[in-house]
Amino acid sequence: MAKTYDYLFKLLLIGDSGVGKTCILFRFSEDAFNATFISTIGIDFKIRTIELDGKKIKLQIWDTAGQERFRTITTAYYRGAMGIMLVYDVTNEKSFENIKNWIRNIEEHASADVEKMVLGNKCDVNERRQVSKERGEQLAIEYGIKFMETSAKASINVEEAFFALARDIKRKMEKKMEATNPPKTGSHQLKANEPTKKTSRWFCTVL
Amino acid sequence: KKWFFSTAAVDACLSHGLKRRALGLFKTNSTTALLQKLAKDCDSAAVIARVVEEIEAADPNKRSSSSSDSTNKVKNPPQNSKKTIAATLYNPRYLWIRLALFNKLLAMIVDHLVKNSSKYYEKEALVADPVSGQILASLLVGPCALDYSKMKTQDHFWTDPRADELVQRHRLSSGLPLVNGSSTPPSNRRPGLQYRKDARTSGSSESEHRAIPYVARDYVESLHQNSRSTLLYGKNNVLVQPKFVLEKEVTVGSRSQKAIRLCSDAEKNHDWHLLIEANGLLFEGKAGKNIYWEFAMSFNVNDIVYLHCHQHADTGGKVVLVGQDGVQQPPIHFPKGGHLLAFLSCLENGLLPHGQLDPPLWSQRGKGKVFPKLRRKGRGSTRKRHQTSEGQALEEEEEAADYVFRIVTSLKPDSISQEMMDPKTTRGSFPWQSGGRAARLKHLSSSSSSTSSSKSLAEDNVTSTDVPKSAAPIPKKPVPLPRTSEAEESASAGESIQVLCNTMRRQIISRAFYGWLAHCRHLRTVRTHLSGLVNATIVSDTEPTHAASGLTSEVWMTLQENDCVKEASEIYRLTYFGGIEHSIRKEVWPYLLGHYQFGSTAEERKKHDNSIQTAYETTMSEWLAVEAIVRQQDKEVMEANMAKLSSESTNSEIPLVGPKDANLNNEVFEDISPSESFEEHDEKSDIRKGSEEAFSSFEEHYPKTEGAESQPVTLKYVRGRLIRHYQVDSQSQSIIITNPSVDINGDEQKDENDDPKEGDNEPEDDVEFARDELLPRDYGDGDSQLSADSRSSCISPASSSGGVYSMELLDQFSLNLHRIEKDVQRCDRNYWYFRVENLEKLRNVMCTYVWEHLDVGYVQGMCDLVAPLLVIFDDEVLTYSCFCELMKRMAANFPHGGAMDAHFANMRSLIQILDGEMFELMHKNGDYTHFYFCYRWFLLDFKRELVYDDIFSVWETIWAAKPIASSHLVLFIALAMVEYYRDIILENNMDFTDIIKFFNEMAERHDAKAVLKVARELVHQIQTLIDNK
Repeated sequence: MAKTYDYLFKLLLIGDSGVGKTCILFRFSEDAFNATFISTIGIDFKIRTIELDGKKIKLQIWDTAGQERFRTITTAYYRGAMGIMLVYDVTNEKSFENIKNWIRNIEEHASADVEKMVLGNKCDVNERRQVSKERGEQLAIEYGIKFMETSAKASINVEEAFFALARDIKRKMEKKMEATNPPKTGSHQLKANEPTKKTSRWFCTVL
Repeated sequence: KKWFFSTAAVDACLSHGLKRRALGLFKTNSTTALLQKLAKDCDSAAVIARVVEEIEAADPNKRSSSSSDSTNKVKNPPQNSKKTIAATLYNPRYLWIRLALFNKLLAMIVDHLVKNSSKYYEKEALVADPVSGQILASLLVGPCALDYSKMKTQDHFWTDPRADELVQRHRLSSGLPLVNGSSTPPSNRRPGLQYRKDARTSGSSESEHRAIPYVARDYVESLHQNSRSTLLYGKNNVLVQPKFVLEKEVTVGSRSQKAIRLCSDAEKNHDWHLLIEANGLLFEGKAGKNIYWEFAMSFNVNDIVYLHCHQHADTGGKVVLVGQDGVQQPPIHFPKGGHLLAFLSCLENGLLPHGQLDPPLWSQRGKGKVFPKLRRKGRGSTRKRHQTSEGQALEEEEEAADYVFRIVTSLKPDSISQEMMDPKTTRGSFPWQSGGRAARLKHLSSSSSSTSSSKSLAEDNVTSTDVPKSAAPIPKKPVPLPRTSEAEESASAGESIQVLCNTMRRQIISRAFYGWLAHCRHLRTVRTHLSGLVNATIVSDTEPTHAASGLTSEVWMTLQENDCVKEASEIYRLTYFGGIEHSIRKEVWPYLLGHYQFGSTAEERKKHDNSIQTAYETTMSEWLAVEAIVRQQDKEVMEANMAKLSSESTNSEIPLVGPKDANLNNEVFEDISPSESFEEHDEKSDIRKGSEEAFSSFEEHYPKTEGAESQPVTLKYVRGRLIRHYQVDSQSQSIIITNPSVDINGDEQKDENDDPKEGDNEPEDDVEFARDELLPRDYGDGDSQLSADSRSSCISPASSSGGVYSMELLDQFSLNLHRIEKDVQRCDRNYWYFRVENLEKLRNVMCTYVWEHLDVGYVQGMCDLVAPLLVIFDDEVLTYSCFCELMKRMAANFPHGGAMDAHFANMRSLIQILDGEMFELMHKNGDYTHFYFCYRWFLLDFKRELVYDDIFSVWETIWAAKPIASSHLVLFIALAMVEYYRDIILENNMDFTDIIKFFNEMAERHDAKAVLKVARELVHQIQTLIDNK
């Protein structure tokens, strides 16, 4: 299919079941909220193209099943991911505690330089909140990753979170590309985007 | 195409009144040379000139572009793999203008030109005009300010299409509705035999296909450079419609200009090739070369039987070549002016002495060859005029006429295979060679050194010199072989026919043998890999009765005798081929699933139902007790967390950033500035308020709490207790029973049931009472023992007695319970059945099953399997029992069950054997032959892929298939799903992500009837393959 983007980033949503991964994704890709979502079985992905610093970035966001029983399947997708969103539910202490397990899981299966971000979802439901924002922040500091509280329902920070993650990936990638001047290094991160191909096409296809 | 015209306009303006001679630009009317001149004293021009040079250097075949003014429009040919047609015109003449425009330098360059107009332009030139020149320069400032980096091309309108769009497109392009297996179900294709081979050879044939262009190029080059080969005719600017364009949807602008060359290879003198090359610029890079050579076409003249000539007085003529197989080649358009005739005469000469055109061209004094004048049936009136005007060339030319020539090859066997022939016949082919040589000498003695880029094979070469010479001898018969007598020839011809027949016979036999061998090998693969997947005996869908209408209620009634259903096989057969009428599903499904035995009496069934009912209630009472504990625990944990949250806000040093403050994003935690602490107070009070609200709502949930004590007291009590609980909890995890009033220490077991605080005299917390009632009084130490004695003794949940539940057990069940509730809450809420009261049923069935299978626990997806059963039965016990039966097969599909990998492996073999092409595609596009995209299909028996009505029919078909056709019908349904969309998948060259996206988007839109039909056909196909000894 034709390339309509400068970069293709593969992102992954992980976290306990029911924390709202699918809802976050649905909010980001369709800007809508559906409370009656069914549980995710297997794997699905959604695409949204965003623009960052004049570059078109196609985000291919994979949504996984939350239950750890499915990890053998979902970890297969860790490898290709350039960014991972770790989602917990601020009304569910357990899901927050499990973030550590998820991080360990990433360290085991994902590539070492994958960009990570922690999201505390359902932050609109303050009356049932169990995890304070500070704890989320502390955890994020502990692991040196970014953190945001989001709400897919109230559309809080969802957009911002994905943009932030995409920006980090882009920065990292461009740094890497500068370091290794020939842009093709065989790394999976660079495989996805084809800036060289794009420029050569440019002259043929324009006009 | 706006930009095309504007660049052309700029070019025209700049060309106007240019001092060509003074600038040394007289060879060209392109302004590119002007740019090069400008580069010396204008920086902007220098930049652009450099870029232009770079681009041209990148493509060596384009080096003449700046000086040549031929209309070098080359169309990017549609690539087979892509549906997009990059119909972009590429004119190098305006390249620099476009580049300058995109680099925003055009205005500066033109401005420079205007300012220095005296140097470059005549006085009357547009640029030199004091007004127009300025206007031109300032007009370009606007366009130059725009950013063209995001220019939309056709490509940009193309984004990943949605699944329904793909389906729609396919419908449009195939002209067929996508129903009833129109998307080439495999049943239409020949089973077996070739599939395996296809899988292997399709890859190589594709690489061959890719290689053709290179072969063609080499061939042409060898013709040009090798003195042994002969070039008979050359002509540029011939239009040919490329063959493969015809297969594409869009043919607009697909004509491209070609040079036609009629060549012969002296080495293989029987091979006459008509080579049609693209005459144009190559695109830069490797891809460009491919494109170029795909335009080259090669015909073996021996394969051509007919030439259809169509002449038009105003547009020239065209020739359509028709092969032996009746296939028409794309027409070759000749420009006006006798070129068609010249081509034909050259062809005729080239065919000599062993081939000829029928009817032959006529020769005419002083004019060379002319078209033969034929008598035609339908044109009797004009015939006379023809005859009278014979010899008058002018009138002849005015006549727009169509002709059909046949190519007669008089010595066919010669051309079949040289090495098969004996020396005599090889010798017999000598005249060919000499004839070819003569032709070469006659025709183009000077052109052997021609290169592909030159125009040395220009038209005058052919028309002026060749035609008159070749016009002299026009033999109507093949020239007799010079070295052999007529008799010898006929003898050798007879002999060669004999040899030919022998060879053909050998070839036919060997081919038949190899075909048989391949078939046998294929069958062996099928038998070893697939024999376990289907039942050996093929059950007919028409014997004894036609089963297509399925199991209707009437049939169901007739199959029952004395409330006893006996004809199991007939019920299976009817269900498999036709499904069950919806109204009797509730009755039939328990049989299909194995809840009832066929042949059982009503009493037996009743008994069975009762025992299941009892077991169900017992189990339920067990887990309900535990559930109560879990609930209490949850509440405590939640309260603890909330208390912690509020204590954090009062005691912690960390300045609080309120949860409502969404604008403070992640950057906050990196530097918590003291400046934010002034917000603290508001937020703190907020939180406290929030938590108090939570507590009060907690009270409301348990209305039994008497209003005896004031709320603050309760609150204080609860909070204090919870904090204590939290502290203890963080120290030790080994304890369970969370009687909140009991002090928790690190003991393994709770044995202070008689704690003084517990009991009726504790009025503060009546939740405690409730729990206390449920609390097991007899202490066991394992859940097996627990379930054993509890099942024997108690039925009612309220009176449940049991052992102490170990911490482990409680944790385990609590985890499962939460998961179940989460999934029950979101299970098919859009379906009418799943309203709140029915969700409770679903939850009970699920919990009961999980309680009995705590080792496996709840796995996401189980709810999906219960839901359709519950919809049909609307009865907890029956649903539970049938679900247990269903899970006997399905449990292995869940993670760690191992069946999923087996499914994937079977899918792999099936698709490899049944659809090699599809397998090849999957393998090629990042190899998704792991078939992960089928995961959900197998896990849930397609429950998520189909709407409820279809789920019912697919499920019952799967169950009935086991005794009838295959215990692995799911595999065949999965295969049918892939095959049903086969053409779309192939057309769009889908990779793993594409196919995942496609099937996820197609969920609940499948035509289940058609898919099932295909699946049954596939089963039958495999059965016949295996059966066929």
